[in-house]
Amino acid sequence: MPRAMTPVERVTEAFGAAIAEVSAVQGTPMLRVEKEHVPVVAHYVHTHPELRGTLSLLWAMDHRPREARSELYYLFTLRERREWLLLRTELRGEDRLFRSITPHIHAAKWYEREIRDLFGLIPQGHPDLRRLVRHEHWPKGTHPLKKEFSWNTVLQRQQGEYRFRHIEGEGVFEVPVGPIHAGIIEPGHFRFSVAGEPIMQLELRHFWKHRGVEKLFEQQNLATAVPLAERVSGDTTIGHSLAYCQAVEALLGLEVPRRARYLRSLFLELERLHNHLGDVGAICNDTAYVLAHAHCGRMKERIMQLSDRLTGSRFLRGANQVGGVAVDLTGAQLAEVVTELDAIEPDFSELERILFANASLTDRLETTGVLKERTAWDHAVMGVVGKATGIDRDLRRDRPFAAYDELQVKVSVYRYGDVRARMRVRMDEIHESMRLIRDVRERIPQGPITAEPSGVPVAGDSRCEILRSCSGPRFSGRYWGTSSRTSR
Amino acid sequence: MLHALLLVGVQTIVLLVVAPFVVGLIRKVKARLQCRRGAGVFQPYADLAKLFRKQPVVSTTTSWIFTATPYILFASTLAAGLLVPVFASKMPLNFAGNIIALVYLLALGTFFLILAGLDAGSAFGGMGSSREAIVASLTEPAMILSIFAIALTAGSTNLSTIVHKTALLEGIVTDPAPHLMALAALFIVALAETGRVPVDNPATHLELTMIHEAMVLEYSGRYLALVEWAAGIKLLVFLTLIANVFAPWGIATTHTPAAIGIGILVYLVKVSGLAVLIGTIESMFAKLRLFRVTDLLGVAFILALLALVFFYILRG
Repeated sequence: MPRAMTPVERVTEAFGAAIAEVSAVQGTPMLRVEKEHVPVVAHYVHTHPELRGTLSLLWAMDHRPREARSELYYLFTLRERREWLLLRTELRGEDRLFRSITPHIHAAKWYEREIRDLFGLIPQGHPDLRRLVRHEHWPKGTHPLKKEFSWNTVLQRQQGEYRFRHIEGEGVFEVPVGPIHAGIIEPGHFRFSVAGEPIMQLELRHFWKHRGVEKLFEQQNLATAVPLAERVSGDTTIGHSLAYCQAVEALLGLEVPRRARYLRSLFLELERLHNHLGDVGAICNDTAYVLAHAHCGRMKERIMQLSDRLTGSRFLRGANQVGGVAVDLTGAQLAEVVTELDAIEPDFSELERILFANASLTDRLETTGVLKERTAWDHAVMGVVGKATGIDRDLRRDRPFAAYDELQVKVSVYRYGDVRARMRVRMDEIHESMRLIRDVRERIPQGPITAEPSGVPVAGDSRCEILRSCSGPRFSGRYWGTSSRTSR
Repeated sequence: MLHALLLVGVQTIVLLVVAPFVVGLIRKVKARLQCRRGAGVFQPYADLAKLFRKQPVVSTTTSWIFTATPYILFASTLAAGLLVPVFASKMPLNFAGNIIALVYLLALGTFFLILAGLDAGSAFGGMGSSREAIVASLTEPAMILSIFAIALTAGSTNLSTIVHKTALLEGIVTDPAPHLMALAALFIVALAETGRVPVDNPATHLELTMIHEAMVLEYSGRYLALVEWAAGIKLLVFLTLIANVFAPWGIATTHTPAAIGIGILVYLVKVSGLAVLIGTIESMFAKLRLFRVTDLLGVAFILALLALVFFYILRG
């Protein structure tokens, strides 16, 4: 029996001429593809029964002023093996056009629109070239992630109008919701076309508060950007800072001590706990079952106060640093964490029983908002929503980071794809997080909590590239870093 | 004559004063059940006072209906409240105290509120109006039938007569089954008509799930105060109906000051008890899907119908 072909071998065999270069970034195979062949290669990776790659991330880089070229990176997660495959293509000189893969891979739709807005690179053949991030009041030609765009540029406001798709007909009404809402939530505009109660079409308009975080990162040096990473998303401090720190550590060739890796897992699970508890409560609140919201809020508050006692921040800010963690926990503190969890878990289990014994609540959750597996697949859904739809992926298990190679993460997967399944995934993860934290306490070794600084990038050549990922409660984040000796 | 005016005046004041208290009490009960301390039970008075002092903002696209509706709603709801025996069974306005008049006075307010929701031309207003119309048209038959079931026992559609006879235990059927069924039906109707959980969520911030709140989203200042106060009175009218039609004992059957004093006290206790019950129920249930509301109101209708049927069966 012949040896099974690797993904790279398959792609190179099928498109020998289109592949310009085969390399690897930290063990992830990377294929450089000539730009006109990107759609066919991507389509092949996406649909080939042995590969079935979902587009996990698509991003661009502007190499000017050092080199007159831009690059596009397509990161695929291969379905069965949960391996990564990177495609890369170059736009040389002043070339601003690239081939859209959206007609083949739906998940690329917003990425490509965003790249067009932020880099000024135009996806040819994209079915929808309206502005996405760059709202109409931004002046024409503003592309903030181009290197020549200065981070402190003040933009003139201009008039413009976003063209919503309209559905016309008797009894069809448009209901605009947001961007300002009655509750305290992030701005988002939703335009429903409804015929009575059924929704015929929904258009989303987001990105009302573009903070230019990516641009701000360019102004930081490697070590001082951690607080910025912590603030990318308000409630995902550890998720973002950990992904960032891991990228930097890989760049610098730092070996994070085991104790620090355990503490990182502990902090990440604490963060997952307070997010999931908040979300379970919020789901109940939106069905007007406020009682459960109040109790979830109470438990969430206990976790946040615990976080505050451990790290001095309710949101665990300042816990991570490049090379390890900034906060060490004593044996007594670890015991306190476990005691607190031992107090919360029976409480939560009781709430769980109450929730699922309440017919009026389960009636609201079951068959509500069903996401079909096929749709989820087309949109490259991951995280809680993916797990509720049968997409069995979790970076903690599939590509272990922090201490997850030694802690065995059990991933719970449901198939129904409705609100109840998503709530169940969160509830199971709450129990699993508590178990993991207890496990951390059992296994955590003594030792230093930061790596010895080495000070020099690991790569011998002038540039090195790195891809690091981390899965937080709300996101699965990846930081791509390049560094050169001359730059910061 | 003076005596009659005095009685009506006292009843008006009781309705106006007690309505915000009931709203505050329900909120307090819910807060306590959520382990919150919650605002004081008198918070709605402060809210109303604040709203009355504020300048209303009125959309330029609205017609007279928008500004007239709060007054019509408030007046019709209060008038409906005067038809219901509150603390005394024989009231001077009892010549008009007909169940049918009561139902349609309340419906008049709802009708204008629906129009006002459409008037501003905002998307949510229209959505709320359309939903309110569905709920209102489904509650009406159940409400009328359930009170008719009681009216049959008392032999009159006059609320004062019903209450008076029930209080003096005249004409009560030996079997309470029709009463209990009618009571259940009226209770469901009360929850639906006053926009409580499980039909509507008075505390929601999700515009798309709103019914009553969506209709009144455009209101502000004193208009909003009137709408809110009217909503409180409407809730109180329903609680009064439930309390006095089904358990009128303690109500003043004569017009002596002592009887009336006791009547008011007993009334407060009964209404507070019902408010606690509503607060508890709101904490126990999630809101129904919009399309399940019809099922719930269907149940109310069937219960009321069964109450009628049982009345004839039991009477033999």
